[in-house]
Amino acid sequence: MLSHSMNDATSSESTSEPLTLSVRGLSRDYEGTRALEPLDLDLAPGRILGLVGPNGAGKTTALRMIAGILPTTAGSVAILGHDVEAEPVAAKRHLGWVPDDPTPFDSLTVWEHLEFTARLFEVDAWPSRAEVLLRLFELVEKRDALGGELSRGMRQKLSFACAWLPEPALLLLDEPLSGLDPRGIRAAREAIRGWAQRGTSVILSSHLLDLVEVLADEILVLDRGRKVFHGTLAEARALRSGGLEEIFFAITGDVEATNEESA
Amino acid sequence: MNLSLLPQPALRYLVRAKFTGAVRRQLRRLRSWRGAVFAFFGVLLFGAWILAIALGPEVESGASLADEGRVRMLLGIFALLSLGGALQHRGLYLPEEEVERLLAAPLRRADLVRYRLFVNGLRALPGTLLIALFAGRWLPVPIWGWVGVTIAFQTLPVVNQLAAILLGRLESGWARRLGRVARPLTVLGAVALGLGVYLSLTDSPKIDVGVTANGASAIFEHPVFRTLTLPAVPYWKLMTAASPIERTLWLCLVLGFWYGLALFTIRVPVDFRELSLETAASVAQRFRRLRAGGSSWIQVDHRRAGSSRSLPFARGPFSAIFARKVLAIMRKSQGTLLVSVLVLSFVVFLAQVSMDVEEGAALASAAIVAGLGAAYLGSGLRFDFRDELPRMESVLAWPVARWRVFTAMILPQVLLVSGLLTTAILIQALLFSGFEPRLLAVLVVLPLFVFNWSALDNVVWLLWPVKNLPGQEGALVHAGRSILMLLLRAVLLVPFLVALGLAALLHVGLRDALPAGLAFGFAVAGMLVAMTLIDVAWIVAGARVLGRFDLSRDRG
Repeated sequence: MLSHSMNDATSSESTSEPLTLSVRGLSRDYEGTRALEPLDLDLAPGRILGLVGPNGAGKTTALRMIAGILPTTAGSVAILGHDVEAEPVAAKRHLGWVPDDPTPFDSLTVWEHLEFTARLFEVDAWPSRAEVLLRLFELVEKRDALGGELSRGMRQKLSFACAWLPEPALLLLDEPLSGLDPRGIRAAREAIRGWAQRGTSVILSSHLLDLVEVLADEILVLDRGRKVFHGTLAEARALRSGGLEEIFFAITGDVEATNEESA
Repeated sequence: MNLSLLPQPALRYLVRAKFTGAVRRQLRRLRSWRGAVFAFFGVLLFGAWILAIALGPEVESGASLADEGRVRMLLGIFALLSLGGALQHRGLYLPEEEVERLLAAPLRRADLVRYRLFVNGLRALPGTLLIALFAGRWLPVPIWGWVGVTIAFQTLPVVNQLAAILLGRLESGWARRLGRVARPLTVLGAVALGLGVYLSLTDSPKIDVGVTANGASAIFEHPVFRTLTLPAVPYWKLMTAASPIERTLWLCLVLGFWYGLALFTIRVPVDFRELSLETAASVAQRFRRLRAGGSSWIQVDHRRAGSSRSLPFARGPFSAIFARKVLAIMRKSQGTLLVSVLVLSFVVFLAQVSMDVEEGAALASAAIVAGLGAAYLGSGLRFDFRDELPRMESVLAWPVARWRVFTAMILPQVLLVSGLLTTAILIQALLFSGFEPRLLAVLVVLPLFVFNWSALDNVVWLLWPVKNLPGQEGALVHAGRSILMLLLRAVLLVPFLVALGLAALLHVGLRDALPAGLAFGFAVAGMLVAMTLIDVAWIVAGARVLGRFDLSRDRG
C-alpha cells in the first residue's frame, strides 16, 4: 500500500512564514459512516495544493469543512490563525469559495453579484477591481445580464470573479474549470497562477489531472475519505515514474488492491 | 447585544437587489405583446378577486362565542400547517443559490437567521394583507380585525422558523421519522382548513356532515379545543377590545410576543448548517422536478417501484408507449391519487349541495362531477404530455406514427380519470339520489368525453407548453395566460356541446314517435357516434400539433 504523508517535508519549507491554512485532525462522520478520516494539512502563503481523488473520496466534504460550510465532527481549521468554528467571521473574511456548480441569483445582474460580494466582504474601492475582473474573465458584455441568463461557463467565470474580488488569503476551488471553454480555462489557469504569485494560497480540487500537474506545488490524494498521499509532484515521482495520471492510478489502485486482499 | 431585527447591511442589499431584480424581470416580460396581454388579464383577474373580497358582506357588530371559536380554530389550523412546513424543512432554509455562498461568507449565524426571518416576513406580507382584508370584513371591528390578523400571520413565519431550527437540533432517528409525518400532517391541515373555512362561512349546511353550526359551538367550547387554541386568545382580544386602553394593552402584548419570539429565534444556539445544505438540496431537487413538467415532480420511491416489470401487452410501439405510461402511473400516482380522490369527494359534495332534490338531479349532479372532475383530474394528474417535456426531443425522434404517439400518451390517463369519475358518480348516486337507469348514458359517454377533454387539453399544451410553479415569479402573467388558455379550451369544447345539443334535439324529436326509453337510447347512440368522430378529429389535430412542436420555444 502506498500511503505516504509528506506533511513534514512540505510544511518544513514554510516554517519561516505564518501559515494561511492549518488543519488538524479534521474528520467527518455521516450517519455512522466515516466520510473523512482525520486529516492534517498546512498551507503556506502562495502555495497551490492540488486535491485529487476518485468520486466519493471526500474532496468536497473536506473543502466544505475548511470553508465552514459543513460542521466538523472532530478537528480544527484555522485560516490565518483564526479558527473557522470559533471565529467564523474573522476566518471567512480571508476566504474565497468557488463551488463545483455555481448557482447565481436569477434576478441579479453580473455587476450586482459583484457589488453584493463587495458589501459582504466589506471591500473598499471595489468597482475598479470589479472592472478588472470583468475584463479578465470576458464578462464585460455580460455586465447587465441576469444570473439566470448565464451559461454554465459564464456562471463559473462569475463565481471566480466574486471569489477573487475580496482578494482572499485562501481560495478554495471545487472543480472550477468544468464548463469553461478553452479560452476560459486558459484565463482561469493564468489567474490562479497570478493570484498564487501575489501570496494567495489555493486549494484546487479537480479531476483534470493535467491541470493539477501544471498548477499545483503540492498534491493531496484522498481515497474513500483517507489521505493516501501528500507531497510535491517530485516526491510523487520518486514513488512512481510518469505523469500525475500514472501516479494517481498507482496510488488509488494500490489501495483498492490492498482492500481486496484484506477482505 | 444586537436587538435589531433588520438584516446585516450586505444582506439588506441582497434583499433590495433581489426585489428590484424581480421587478426588472417582470418589466422585461411586459416588453412582448403576449406578456403584456397575459399580464393585463392577470391583473384583471387579481383585481376582480380583491374587489370581491373588499366589497363582500360584513358581519353585524357584536361578537359571539362562535365567532371567537372560529377565529381560534382558523389560527390554530394555520399554525398546524406552519408546523407541517417546519417538519419538512428542518434547520434554516436558504435557497440553493444562497446556501454555500452565505455559509462561506463572513457572517454570524444570527445574521443568517435575522436575514431569513426578514425575508420570510416580507414574503408572507402580501398573503397576510389579503387574508387580513378578507378576515377583517368578517370581524366586528374591521380595522382591528385587520391589524390582529396581520400581526398573527406575521408571527406564524417566526413560529415556523423557530420550530424548524429546534427540530434541527433533534438529529436522532425519531426526529427524522417525525419528518415523514410532515406530509400527512399538511394534508390533514389542508382538509381541516377546508372544513374550517366551510364551518366559518356557513351557518346551516344543506348536508349534515356531522358538524352543524350547533355542533361547531360544542367543539369551540370543548376544553381540549380551548387549551390548544389558547395562544390565539390575545389576537382575538385585540380584534374585539372594547376600550382604547384595553386594545393598546393587547396590541403591546402581541407585538411584544412577536418581537421576543423573533429575538429568541435569532439567538437560539443551534448549528443548522448541515440541515440547511440538506434542505436547500432537497428543495432545489423538487423544483427541478417541477420544472421538468407533468408528474415529474413526484419522486419515485425505489422500494415501492419494486423490480422490473414486463407488461404482457407491450409488444408493438403503441402498446410500448402505453405500457410505459401505465408503469409511470402505477409508480408515481399514490400521493397524487389520494389528493385527487379528496378533491373528487369535494366536487361530489359540492355537486350534491348545489342541486335540489328533484327529477333529473341525479343526472345533473353526475354531469357536474363528470365535467369538473375531467377538467381537474386532467390537468391535476399530469400523466400525459406534460410529463414528457424533458424528453420531447426523444419522443419526436421515435419511429412511430404521430397519431399513435399522441393517442398512446394520453390513453392511460383517460382510462384512469374515467375509472375514477365512474366510481365517484356511482358512489354519489348510491349514497344520495339512488341509481337511475339514465345514469348509464352518462357512464357510457364519459370515457369519450374524458378523451375529448384530454385530447384538446394536450393539443393546447403542445401549442403553448408553459407551466406555472408554486412561488414562481410572474404570477400575474401566468395567471393571465392560464385564464386565456382555459378560455381557449372552453371554446374548443364547442364541438362536444354541439353534439350534446343535437343529441338533446334528437331526443325531443323522437320522444313523441317512440317509447321514452327507446328515444333516449337513440339520442345516446347518436351522441356516441358524434363523440367518436370528434375524438378522431382531435387525434388528427394532436398528431399535427405534435409534428410542429417547437423544441426551442420559450416555455415560460
